[in-house]
Amino acid sequence: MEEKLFVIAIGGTGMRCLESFVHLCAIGMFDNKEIEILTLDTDQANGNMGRTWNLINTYNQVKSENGSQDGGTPNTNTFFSSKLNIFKFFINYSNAQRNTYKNISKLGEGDERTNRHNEMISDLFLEKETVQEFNLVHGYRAQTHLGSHLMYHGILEAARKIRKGGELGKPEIDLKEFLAKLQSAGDSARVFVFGSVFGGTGASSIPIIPVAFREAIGIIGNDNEKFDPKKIKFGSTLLTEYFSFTKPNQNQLSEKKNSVIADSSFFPINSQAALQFYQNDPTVQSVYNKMYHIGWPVESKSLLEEKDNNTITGGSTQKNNCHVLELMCAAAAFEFFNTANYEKKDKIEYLFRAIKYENGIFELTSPDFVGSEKGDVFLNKLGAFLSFAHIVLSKNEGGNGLLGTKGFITQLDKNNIKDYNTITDDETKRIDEYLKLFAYSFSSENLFEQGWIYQIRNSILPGNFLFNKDAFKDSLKELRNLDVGNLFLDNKHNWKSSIIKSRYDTFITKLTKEGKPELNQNVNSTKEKFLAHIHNGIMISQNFIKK
Amino acid sequence: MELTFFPAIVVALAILLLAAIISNLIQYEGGINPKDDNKRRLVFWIFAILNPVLYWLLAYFYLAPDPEESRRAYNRFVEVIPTDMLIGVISYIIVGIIASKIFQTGKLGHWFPKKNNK
Repeated sequence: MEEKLFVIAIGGTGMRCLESFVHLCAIGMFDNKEIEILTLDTDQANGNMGRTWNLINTYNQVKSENGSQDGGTPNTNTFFSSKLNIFKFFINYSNAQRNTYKNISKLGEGDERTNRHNEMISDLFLEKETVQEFNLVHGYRAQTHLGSHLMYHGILEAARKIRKGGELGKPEIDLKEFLAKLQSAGDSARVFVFGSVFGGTGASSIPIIPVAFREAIGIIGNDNEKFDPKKIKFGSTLLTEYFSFTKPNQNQLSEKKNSVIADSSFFPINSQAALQFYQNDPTVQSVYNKMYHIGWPVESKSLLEEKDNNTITGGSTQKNNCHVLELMCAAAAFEFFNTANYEKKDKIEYLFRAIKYENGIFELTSPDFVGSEKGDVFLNKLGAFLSFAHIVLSKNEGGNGLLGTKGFITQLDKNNIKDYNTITDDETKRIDEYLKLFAYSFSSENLFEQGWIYQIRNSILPGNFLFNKDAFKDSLKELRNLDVGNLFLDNKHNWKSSIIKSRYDTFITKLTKEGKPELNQNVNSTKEKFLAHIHNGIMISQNFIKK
Repeated sequence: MELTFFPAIVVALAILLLAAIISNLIQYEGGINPKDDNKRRLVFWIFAILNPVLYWLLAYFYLAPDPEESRRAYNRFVEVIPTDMLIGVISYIIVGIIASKIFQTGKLGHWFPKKNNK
């Protein structure tokens, strides 16, 4: 039975892990797969979430035929080879009646005896002046006990609304469709959950998601059709603290709505407590199959740029740079989805991998991410996509606002390969846009802006990240003259050159002579064929031995 | 009958080879409006013009018989030089077209590109 893949990304960190996951899909690590993705948050305006939605939207535009929004079809052995279906659910805390625990729980709205009991039980678990009254619009602010309670009931509340019928909002419709897919997949579902264990929303939600979904499916459908999380393969990351941010100041804390602000100096303690919880909680133990323990062994870097000295609690300004650990989390999902035929066990399995750290420097190699068996596959695909990005953004100046992909198609046209002339300018712009999000771009003021892979590499500096330092140039002049076939640390994977032919010339020769898409790549549209053609040309040039 | 045009063809092919090498040395340019194909075409036509000039110089100063030895042989040779030059140019262009079609997806394909089939 073919397994159905589901990804759930929760909270700001979960969104950034999802970002890395989507880029793994773009490089072709999840060949021929259709993946259902649910983003789950409380902060509708969260910058990280917006960035991830934009990324998936651009991915789907790249895959769709012009004018369509269907996200294309799964392909094999090419770029953008997976089909991604995105569902967005968030719990709305934006209106005044629902913006604090106190308001949602309607404490003080019953008779005197009920009120007294409600208040007593609330006060027992949740600090009265702070936890019960801070503004929830930016998430649960590291108050995981509150978060788990509210997230669980938020999902059930949405399920009841769905059951009731009538006009549903987009979040409820998306949740309904996602749960329907999960239910119909039944035991063949593999579900991977991205989120941190040290923060707020992710940490609150990871433990309760499988059970909350079971209850929600029960409410929406009927008891006989309930799905059983104990039979479904659930995996997740146990992602402990790896970044810090400015400590909240007294001025900020004195505001009622900000009476609780996550303090990153407590993240190590939060992580420790969470790990103890995951180790001991019977529900987590019974529903999750595999948990990937991912952490940062050295002092966490501050990833935020807080210009006004206030802690950013969420919202559109929360756009943290990506970190190599998020790529590790995406690689964990790769392992989880690609483990063949494992049976659900009674007990959770914890996995981790050690990486080389010497003299204050990380030396990351491709097997550190995906294991030694798949290490070359990962390096080959990531290197190919990085070369593709530099062909479009650097060689053809797409990163600097020109039509990079269009320029490359023009070059093919001049080489009498006219198959791709029907791809419209608008379609080529979407490809440029995706590659900018992947690698880099220049702003209208000519300022360099790092994309995903540059941010990942920066997070481990001064250590090495798979490619040589030339692959990460950041000045316009250097990028224009970049040798796009000379990115690997191991020279045998750099494109060949000779006295009369540059590496790029050799690549174009191979592309035109040997790179034509093949039937088994399952590419149908002109754009898919174009992407497969470039993919093949680069793959041949990189000279990895096929495994 | 003397095959005096034979050296003209050899010279044309040698010059064509030189044009092919130089065309291959011109690197692919990036951007929305690359000019590398125009440069290759220019190289082809510059050498097409140079071809008869070079053959003329070669014929007059190297291949032609010594007029002091045989004025008649010299005159006969000089008489056919323009025809040989023309044969050389035609050979250069014909072989250029054939090479361009054989290597149509390579750099030599830029000498005589296919029309757009849009």
